[in-house]
Amino acid sequence: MPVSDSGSNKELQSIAGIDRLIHEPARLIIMAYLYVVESTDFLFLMRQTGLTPGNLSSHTSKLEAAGYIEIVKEFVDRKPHTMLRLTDAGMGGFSGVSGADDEGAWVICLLEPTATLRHICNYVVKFCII
Amino acid sequence: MTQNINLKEIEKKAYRDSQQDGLMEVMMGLILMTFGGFFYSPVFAFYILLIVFAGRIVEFIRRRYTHPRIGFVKFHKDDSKDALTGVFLFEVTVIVIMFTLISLFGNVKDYSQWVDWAPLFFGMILVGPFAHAASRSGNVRYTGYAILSVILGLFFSLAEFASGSTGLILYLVLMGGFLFISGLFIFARFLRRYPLATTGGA
Repeated sequence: MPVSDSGSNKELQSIAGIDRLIHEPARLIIMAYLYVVESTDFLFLMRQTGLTPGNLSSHTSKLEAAGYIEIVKEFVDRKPHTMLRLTDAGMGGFSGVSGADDEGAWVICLLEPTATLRHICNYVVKFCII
Repeated sequence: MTQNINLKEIEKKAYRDSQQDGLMEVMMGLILMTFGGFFYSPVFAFYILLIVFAGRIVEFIRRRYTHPRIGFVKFHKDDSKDALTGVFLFEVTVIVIMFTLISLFGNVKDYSQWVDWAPLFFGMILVGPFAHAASRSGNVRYTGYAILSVILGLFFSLAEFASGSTGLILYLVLMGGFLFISGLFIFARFLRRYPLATTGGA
């Protein structure tokens, strides 16, 4: 299918705009986990992502260098403990690639106790808006 | 380039994994059992202390046993506030509906007969936190607890006992005991599944 020059230029521009740092699969999943929680430690993130300690450390260092995540190293009971959280820049960057802001969050939050009620209310809300 | 990231599923998994130690069941079971005991004897009034300090006690045990094994995660505070509001709204709705239904069809003539229906009230009220946990974690275990609490509540409301509060006491002790024992079993399995790492730090 032939693509017009202006159309292909736009596509190329959008591809060029992709943040390669976040789009690497391992880093994308790290960002996704940090997006849904407030903060987590290294061990929990390692278990969730299934990455090895070295791999995770390397990826998180790159994300930290880019200013997407914040790493706080501390000692708890004389043992090293590393906490990670997404920065505002990381939140913005990740929302951009995942479309995470698209959900009707208030409906989901308010009616969390029962999925059925939530679905019914979502339908009602959609019906009223349409 | 299309990214398919199911954030809801990721959040559910993180929540499910953070709750896999079974300590919430243990604590909830303890509270229910002592609450049931309180109807039997005021000695069990310390259930109030359990309710007040439940979060701190669970946190203390988790810091010693859970976090060194599977790590620590902190969820967004806004989510918890919204969830609490949701559970509260659910409880109020359930109480109003139950009250109306029992008034209409429960054949209740005086106050003492309301006590007979107390187990079902408790059963329905427990559905709130269990349904919340089930929907947040996607774990069927919590749905099972919710169903069991309603079935047991209905059973102990309909069964006839010598004293009005006996049904309620038995319900609370049995439901609490079940939660306590299954929580302990889950905790023991958790400790076996995740042995403490001897080297390195998080």
